[in-house]
Amino acid sequence: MIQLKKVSKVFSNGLKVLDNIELTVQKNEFLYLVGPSGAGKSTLLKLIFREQHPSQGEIYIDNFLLNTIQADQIPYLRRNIGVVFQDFKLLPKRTVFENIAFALRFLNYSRRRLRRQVTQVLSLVGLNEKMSRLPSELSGGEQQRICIARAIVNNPSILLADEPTGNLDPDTSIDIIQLLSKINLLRNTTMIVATHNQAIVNDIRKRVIELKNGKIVRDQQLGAYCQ
Amino acid sequence: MIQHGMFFIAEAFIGMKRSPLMSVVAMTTIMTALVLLGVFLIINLNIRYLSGFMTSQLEIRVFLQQSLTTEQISTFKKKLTQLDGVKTIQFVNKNTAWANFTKNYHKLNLNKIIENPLPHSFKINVHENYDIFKMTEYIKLHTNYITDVKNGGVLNNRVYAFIKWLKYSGVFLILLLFLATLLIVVNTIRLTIINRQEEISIMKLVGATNFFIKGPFLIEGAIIGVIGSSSAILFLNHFYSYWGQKLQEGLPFIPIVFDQYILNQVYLYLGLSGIILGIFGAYISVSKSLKLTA
Repeated sequence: MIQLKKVSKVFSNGLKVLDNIELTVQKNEFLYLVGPSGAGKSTLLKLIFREQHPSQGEIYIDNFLLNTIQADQIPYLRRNIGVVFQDFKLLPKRTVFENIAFALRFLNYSRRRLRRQVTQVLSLVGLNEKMSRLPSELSGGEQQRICIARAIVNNPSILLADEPTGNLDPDTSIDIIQLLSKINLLRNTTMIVATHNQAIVNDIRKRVIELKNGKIVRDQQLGAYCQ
Repeated sequence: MIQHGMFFIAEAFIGMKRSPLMSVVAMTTIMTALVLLGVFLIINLNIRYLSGFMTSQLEIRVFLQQSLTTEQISTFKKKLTQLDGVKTIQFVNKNTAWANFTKNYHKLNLNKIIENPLPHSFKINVHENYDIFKMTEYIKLHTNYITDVKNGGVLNNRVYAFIKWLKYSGVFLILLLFLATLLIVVNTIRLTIINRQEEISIMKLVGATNFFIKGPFLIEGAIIGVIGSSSAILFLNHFYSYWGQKLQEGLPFIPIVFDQYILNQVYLYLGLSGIILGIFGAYISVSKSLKLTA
């Protein structure tokens, strides 16, 4: 369970990006974060991922207060939180297999276990045949699938996706959200998807949190992009 | 741990293979810097060797009283032989001394001198770096045996001052050169790491610890250090054996160090310096990069 209590974030230039956010995300829940650019969607994800610190308030993950986490503990937190990016952030000179295995290298897995886990996750995202390819040899949708595979390969309990369909065409975008939804169901992964994409939010209905000027203006179950 | 170690080594080679140009630049930088350091070390070594040689050539001349008997001379010689720092002691008969003097200064009109004015004397050579002045002062106390004691005087003073200066300035210059080399190496390795900044940030995002991120870069630094310093040692060895030999042929009276054992020690220092520079350079650079990424 993720809990944000009276969380605010003010940047060093004085800009308030998040204002007194109160949010609870239950285990295995799937929710969309929507709102215009600059509403604070990405910042909210970065706070959960501990890429940024809140200026005020408390953030809990499974009753663990994130504010008090030491710098050397952050890697262990991140192994439990997968992140999917708009620009995929794949290593261009490594194959599909290597890109995914990369996230398991520091977990002391045997070679066999590592291969098995990567192959399983590649089957889940439907790219088993392309494990020896380089990212540049794949389409945008396929690259995003690899990014998702890398994010879930070590079975994190939370998956954060920041504009995962931002660089994709409408059909591929639907495929990606369906894939995320499938992962949410099959693996019981808590999913927070920040998006601008009206079509996917309207097509695959889930809980919607709407942010405007850093404040939550709507929290609706099975909501649409616009009220 | 072994698995991690193998992974670090494999990743280090992969990293070098993926940015070969930067790796070659880093190796060349280390090689150039270590060649400069090595040239300085070898020059320093030779100057110290030369000054040691010069010191060993300096001697104390003890002029004896004319009235001493052979027995007294022998007793005094025994006494001097027992002194600390005495390497050799040689008795110079007054007749031999006069013969040498007339031979060396044959242009002077010495025929008018009927009687040999020179006394018997001892020629004392001291061990390298031994304080020749202290010994001179001590011998001067034996007034019942001697008339005068001489040493290299001003030349001695200068040689000693020079050796002292060499000892301190040499250490200082080596430290300075080492720091300059470190700075160059850090910045060169930093270029290779900036090239892979994105990889580092992705590693952090997927939960890699700093230890895990630093590992391959440190191994890479060590490999670059080993290759860079080995090339520097090979170059210096060839360069020195060729030009040292040429210099020795041209200036045969100057002693030059060719003792392979001593030279190997210099090369060992250079090799270790290369590895330390590579690892330390990589450590500083990757630590800076890690601070930049969230």
